[in-house]
Amino acid sequence: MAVYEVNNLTFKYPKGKNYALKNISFKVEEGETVIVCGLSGSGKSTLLKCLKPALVPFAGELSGEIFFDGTPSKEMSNTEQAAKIGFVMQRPDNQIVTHKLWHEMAFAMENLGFDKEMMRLKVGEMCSYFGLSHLYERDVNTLSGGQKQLINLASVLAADPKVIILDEPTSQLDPISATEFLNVIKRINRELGITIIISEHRLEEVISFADKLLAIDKGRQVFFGGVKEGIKTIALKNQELFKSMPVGIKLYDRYSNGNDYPLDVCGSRIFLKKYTENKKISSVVIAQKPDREKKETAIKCSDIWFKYEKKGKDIIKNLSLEVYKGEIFSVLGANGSGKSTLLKCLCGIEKPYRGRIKAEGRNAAALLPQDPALLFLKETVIDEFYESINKGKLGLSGKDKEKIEEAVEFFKLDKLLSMHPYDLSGGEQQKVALAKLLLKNPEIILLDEPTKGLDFSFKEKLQNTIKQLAKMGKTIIMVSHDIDFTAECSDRCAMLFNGEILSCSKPRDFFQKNRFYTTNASRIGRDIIPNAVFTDDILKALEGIR
Amino acid sequence: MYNEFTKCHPFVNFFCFLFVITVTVFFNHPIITAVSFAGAMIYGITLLGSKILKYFFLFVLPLCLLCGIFNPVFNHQGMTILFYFQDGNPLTMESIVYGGVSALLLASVLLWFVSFNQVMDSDKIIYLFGRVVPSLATVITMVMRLVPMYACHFKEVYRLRALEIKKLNIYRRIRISLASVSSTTTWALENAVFTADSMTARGYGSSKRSFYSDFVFTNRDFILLSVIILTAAVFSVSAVMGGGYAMYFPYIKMGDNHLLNMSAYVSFGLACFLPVFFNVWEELKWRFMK
Repeated sequence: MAVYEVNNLTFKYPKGKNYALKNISFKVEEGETVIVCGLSGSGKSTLLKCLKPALVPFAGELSGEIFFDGTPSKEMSNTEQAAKIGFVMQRPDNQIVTHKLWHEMAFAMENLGFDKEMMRLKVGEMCSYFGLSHLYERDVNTLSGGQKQLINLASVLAADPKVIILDEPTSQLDPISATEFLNVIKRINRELGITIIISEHRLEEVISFADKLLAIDKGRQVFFGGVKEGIKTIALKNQELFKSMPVGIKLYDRYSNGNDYPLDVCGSRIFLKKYTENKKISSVVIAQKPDREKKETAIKCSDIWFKYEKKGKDIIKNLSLEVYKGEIFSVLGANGSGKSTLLKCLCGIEKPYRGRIKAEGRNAAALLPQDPALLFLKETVIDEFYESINKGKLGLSGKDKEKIEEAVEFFKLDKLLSMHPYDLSGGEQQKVALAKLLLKNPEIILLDEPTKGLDFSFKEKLQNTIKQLAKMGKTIIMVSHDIDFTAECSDRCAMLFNGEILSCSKPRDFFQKNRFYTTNASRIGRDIIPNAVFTDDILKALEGIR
Repeated sequence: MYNEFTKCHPFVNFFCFLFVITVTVFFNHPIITAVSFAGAMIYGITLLGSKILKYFFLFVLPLCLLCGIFNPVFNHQGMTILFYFQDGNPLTMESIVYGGVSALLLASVLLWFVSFNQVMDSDKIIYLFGRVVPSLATVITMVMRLVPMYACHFKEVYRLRALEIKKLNIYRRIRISLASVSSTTTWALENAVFTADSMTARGYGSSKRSFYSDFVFTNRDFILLSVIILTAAVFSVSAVMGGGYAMYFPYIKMGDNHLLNMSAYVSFGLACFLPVFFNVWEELKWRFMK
């Protein structure tokens, strides 16, 4: 019997003009992993919520049939569905209810009225299985995002569910934690036979172990079925969605007609090797941009040291850095390497205890924090802009109005002006926050993890925006985990490790040197296509031998 | 020093403190107060070491001195008049003694609460409440999670705002603070929607809630709790019959039945020093085992 059988599911939000979901039908067998893909706003979250009766958006119109394990899902009791259908959401922080790890693990079981002995056993079991034993007595607030998300999963698993639904569980995590988390998902599927339904931006990591693929676009079902067939269908039908597929799949699609898509880097390398066998590949010709002779310095740090507490560890050690005007400068590094702290020092929130930071004028740098919501203070987007130039609606001069209009046009925000900033999607929030910063006219813009939680198409837009800003003479410094993104858009990259900058050069030189910490294209093309760093490099090289 | 008492069952900790602190507050008998003070001080030292001395000398002592001095200056009851102030009010011996005992009482209570906070951590408090009203325990643990989270968010918003403003005077600081509070509130409400979803998803309110805890009531806890209850019973009986009684105005009068007084002092003293005795006992046991 199928775990889920959905027939003609249609859903409309109470005030919505269009259907959020229209005629979705699929069937999930026990033990399968189903990946739900679609762009932001395509209805993924709504669909997943509809699968769990307790979370169906309030007052929406739901029609069609959903069977869970043979019974209509509407008829399930609250207790039953809480135990059988686990649900993990996007943000690790606001799903956690209690303040201690042990309590959070037991929360679901407490709600279901398990007895104490049973709970103790289950919590012990969970901690051992997930390797959380050393965190058992910790305060939740002291844990990292990855660990928090793992607790959310463990808490849900403790109630012994049949299926777990995950709504973009890794969008707020850094790549390392995300990979770890997804490995756990894979493990519980393979080792425990729990059915998984997951929606995810990071397709390259999930697609390799998924059994089925459900693609939706604007609330309509594009495809449901096997993964490889699904990719083929998407490639033919929906180019926009196909763009978010991993590099290897794109290469295969271009140079082969079959549908045996390589789902990971290893498979892609094998395909590439076969394809290029006995053919001569010319090394990628690099059109070096001539260095501008005169570089104006935008900000310069000399030998800065920083720590949070007097007796604490040095977070930044003897760091020197010079960033030029109009440059896009990226700092890469793992969690806890001091990236965010560096930005705080650069914008003046924190002061280094030794060394100097020299920028043109005070407050030359403006910071866009990881969570753009930190910058929002008002009820509507347009009020945010008024607030930003420090005047009410009435005190606006013609010049100010022009400035706002310019920003609105630049970021294409005209449709969002009367909305509440919290009602916007992640990508839109970021645009509004960036526009707000720009109204202050800073020389230097600091971006902290700008691609966190954004899907492929938003990333592309962000990249264009950043490049345009740089052309306008703004200096951009960003810290990021997102290797592919930084490689594509920066002028220079630096690697931060243990509070020090280890290497700093142009992206091409930077990523060629790295073996592990590098772009997917470079991993796929290594030793096969010399010097390949970007997807375009591989495409050009293959174009040459066609 | 070895702090085994902290690891006892929350009931043991809680009832011990409850008994000791209640008696300290309601009996202003000089000997009982002195015993309580000694117990609080010594246990405080075993728990926190020199930190408690710092707290005592910098905070508790000045406060108590103030209290001890102000009482005879403003309280003019009592029969034994030592001399008259310039405004004609008398200074009495009774008010001096009363002031001294009250100061000591205040000091003991403050010191006991230091130990109380140290021993009764959030887990134990939640356990105690959870036994009685499970939903209250949930509220407490949520508050303990959310308050630091909100404070952190507020601080971030404030600092980002403060960056944009060139000269920070008090007026501007207040304005930014208010704006940050309002922004944090919106953010908190927004988050609460998701938290509520996550709670429903995990079956909150779907059936009768049970309560998880790691605490197990062992034999040792049973013995300790019995000792506490026994001392409390002995003390109550002696107190009802007039032991440990003290009156300061208009003249000083204390309970004069020697047996009743002694049983009150000893039973209370035993409870005050129970944590220390227990720790010493465990320490000795450990040494002899090695």
